[in-house]
Amino acid sequence: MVEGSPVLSRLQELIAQESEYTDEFEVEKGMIKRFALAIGDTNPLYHDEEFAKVTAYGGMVAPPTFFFEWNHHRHWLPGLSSKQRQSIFADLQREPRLLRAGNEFEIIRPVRPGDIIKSKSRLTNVYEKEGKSGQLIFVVCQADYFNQRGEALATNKDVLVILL
Amino acid sequence: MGRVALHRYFEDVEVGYELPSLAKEVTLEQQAMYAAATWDIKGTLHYDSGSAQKLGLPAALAEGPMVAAFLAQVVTDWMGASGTFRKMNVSYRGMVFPGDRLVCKGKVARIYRDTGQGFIQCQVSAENQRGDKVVYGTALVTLPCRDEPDGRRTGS
Repeated sequence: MVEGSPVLSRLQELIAQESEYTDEFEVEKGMIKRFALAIGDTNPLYHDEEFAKVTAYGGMVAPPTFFFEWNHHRHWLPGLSSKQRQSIFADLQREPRLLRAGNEFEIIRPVRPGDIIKSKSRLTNVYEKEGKSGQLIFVVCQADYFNQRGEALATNKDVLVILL
Repeated sequence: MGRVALHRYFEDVEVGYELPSLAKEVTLEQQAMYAAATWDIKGTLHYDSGSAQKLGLPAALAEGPMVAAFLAQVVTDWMGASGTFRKMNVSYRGMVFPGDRLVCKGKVARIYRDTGQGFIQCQVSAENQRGDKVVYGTALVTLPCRDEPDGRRTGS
């Protein structure tokens, strides 16, 4: 293993640097239904306002993992321009491959139609491990989500692995 | 629609109970719908076979979080509209491609009460047709308790 890879130390310098992003689209019932259709989930809480109204939710909500992909690409190495990203991986022979290793999330309030989602994200941890096929760098990125009233919606940690 | 329970109570749940499993056959069409629904258009390897093959993959790679959504569905189908989904941790351990037949399972691992709420932790996993666990983790939900006056309140 190459000790103290420059990629690792460059990534570690970015820990705690926060970036904020407000989605340009308001969540609509149609977006929620399409997400539910894509995953094959026919739960009427996501499709039928009349049903949802008489439940404890009082109206349609989004499925729990709706956040997993929400502006995901804004969260990977938060706040960096593509030029900065390139400089991190400058001395590699090829583009590094990125894989998702896991997700950890907590829902504080469900997403509802009319929400405008704002996220604040930051790199919280970077570490390396020796894998079967070479050096692996793990990156943990946390995003906190809020609605337009500043109410907390969810927290999601993406664990990504970089194959060098 | 309509198979979702309206009221399920904490007192009726036992450790070891196996939630009804869900069978999901992954298709390229579904992967494309998921990419569109999540606005993940840049990730062409997830819905375009040619892009995936250029990266050395045999076919378009299903996104891990799509499978995590199946696992969340196992839990939400069972808990019904009176339950609240609180937390989920998942690890992506195997690749999923179009044509894979997944069985998504859940099992009650732990139950406890805290501040008037009934917490239920489930182990969840998705297994492919070769028996590989491709995604697994835990989900935490709350259910109303019969003896709490505002037990039905959920979702704030």
